[in-house]
Amino acid sequence: MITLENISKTYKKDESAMVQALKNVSLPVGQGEFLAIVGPSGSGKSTLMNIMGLLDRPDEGSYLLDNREVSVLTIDELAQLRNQKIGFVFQTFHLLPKTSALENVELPLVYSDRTDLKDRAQRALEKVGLANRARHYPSELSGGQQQRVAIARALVNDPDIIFADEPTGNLDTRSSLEIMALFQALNRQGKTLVLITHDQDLAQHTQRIVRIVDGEIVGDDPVAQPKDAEAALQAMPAAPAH
Amino acid sequence: MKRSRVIKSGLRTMGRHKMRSSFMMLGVVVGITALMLVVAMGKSTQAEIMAKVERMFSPSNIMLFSGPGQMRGFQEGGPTTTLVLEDLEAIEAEIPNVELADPLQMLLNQDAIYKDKSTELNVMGHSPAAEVVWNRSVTRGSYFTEADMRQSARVALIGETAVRDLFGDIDPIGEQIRVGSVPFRIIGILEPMGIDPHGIDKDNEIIVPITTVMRRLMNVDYVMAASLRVRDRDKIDDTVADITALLRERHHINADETDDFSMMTSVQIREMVESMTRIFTVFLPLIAAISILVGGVVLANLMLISVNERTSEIGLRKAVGARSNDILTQFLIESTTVTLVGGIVGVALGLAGIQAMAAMMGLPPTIPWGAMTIGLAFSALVGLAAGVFPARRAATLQPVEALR
Repeated sequence: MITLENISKTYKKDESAMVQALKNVSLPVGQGEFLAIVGPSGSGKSTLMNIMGLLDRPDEGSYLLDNREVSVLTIDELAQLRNQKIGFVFQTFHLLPKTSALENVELPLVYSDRTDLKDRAQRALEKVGLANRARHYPSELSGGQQQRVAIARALVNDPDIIFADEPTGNLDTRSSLEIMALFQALNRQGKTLVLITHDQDLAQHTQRIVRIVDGEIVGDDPVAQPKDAEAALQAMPAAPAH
Repeated sequence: MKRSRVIKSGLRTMGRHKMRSSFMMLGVVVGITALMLVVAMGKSTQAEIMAKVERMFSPSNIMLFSGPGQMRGFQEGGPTTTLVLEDLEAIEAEIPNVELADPLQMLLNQDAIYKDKSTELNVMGHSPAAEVVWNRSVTRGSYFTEADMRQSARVALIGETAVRDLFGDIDPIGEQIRVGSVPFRIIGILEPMGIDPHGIDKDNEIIVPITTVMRRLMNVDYVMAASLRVRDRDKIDDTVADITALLRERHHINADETDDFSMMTSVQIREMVESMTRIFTVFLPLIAAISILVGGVVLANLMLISVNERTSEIGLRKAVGARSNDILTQFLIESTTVTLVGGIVGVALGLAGIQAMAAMMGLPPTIPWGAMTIGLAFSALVGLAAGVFPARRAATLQPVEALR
């Protein structure tokens, strides 16, 4: 569903220095895949995600999304495509403060043509197991719960693909496993997922690992035996009540 | 549908940040409140002065002064001595539109003595016509008469301030006071009138027959001024011309000489008062309007800070599909709503303040509808203007930058 070909991106670091974040990157992503883009910080993986997620445009190269060239679209057309086809999960959750979980999940629908905002948002919260937290504010939720609200927000408009940028970076081990289990479940239901991380272990939960160093893809391998997050959770000692 | 959802989402976000929104409102609230208070106070004060002027100077009156130009009775080289009682009798007799003529001669700041008490008061010489012409009668006792005029009788009507200073609790009617060496019998208490626009306490005076002032106190045979009551106030300009012609003839003024008298009508007096109170009706409101502008500048700054603080919110909204226009709308609606709500709060505070100040100053409360409407419209406009720059800054933020 995604075909990147010879994508390059250069940006200004300061007045004098230019940094080439991506060099001739080519990458196909198929429907229903769960892949990880792994690299150290500064490797260009975030730039890659931004371009794949239509948050940024490449300087050179071609990007086909569902066989449509998107590198030529206007800013507003990209916004509309993001709204309809793409969901984002960020390391820092990016939930609106003082705003209920339900309304946070509703946010993408505000900018869509859909009408049944509340119902859809409620169903998305059910999918991440937070139906009973709809009225809670982010400050009243644990980190793991906040991230699940963010995932519900990514799901609410029924996107084709979800990008998760270090989604467990701010979470403890148990919450991280819960998030990964949720991703694996979503993937089993047919969602395409792209996980961006520097954590090699975490990447083992996906089906395919793309390694990127200094703006170039240096490896692209299937994961022989993906870890099962749900099983790991079961094996953990009982969670303290919270 | 979608547009209204975007607006609603923005408004809800605003409502959740009450502190931020209140600070944005503050400048506009203060500006509108100040504008309303200033305009209302200006209007009340002007109305009060106008009412006083109207009371003291009826639109049916012409004020006639001895000497060229206003109040030239006091000019250097001594007073003009040409206006005499016979002139006024002639005006009454020969100009049909003049109903009554009340001459005036006065002595300011005279020592008056009653037994062991003394005070300083003004002695006003009038004819009995003053009761009608000046619309001021007595609350007790009686006005002096034509006979008193003819005899230069030593009778006086006394104002309440003078009563208080000289008599205290004693009933002044029938008592005798002295002004200089001349004794006066009090025959009436004057209706209270308060302070006139020149700051003179009209209740600290005695009114006596003008002939008494002229012969017994001043030893002159001219008057300082006169107040003329006309029958038809619409013809007042013609009457002024007729009086001019008559007086020039009586005073033997040649065609190449200027008048030795002057006249003033209530229209001119109103204009004078209006120009004196312009500071209330023009300049102070202008300052208040500027304070709304300053509120707008403060708002623009706070909005800019807000946009900087909320890059993450803006980035997120863009990431999930907000177009530049949606963000622009959100921030413009926010700034306009802030100033409109601020305007409404300011109007409410202003109305409350007007009631309070009116009660404190004993003036009737005036609701400045014009200032209210203009202030609200102006504040919405200021909000829009203040929002444009920050909103555009927000709208053009790249989602990548904003999410960092």
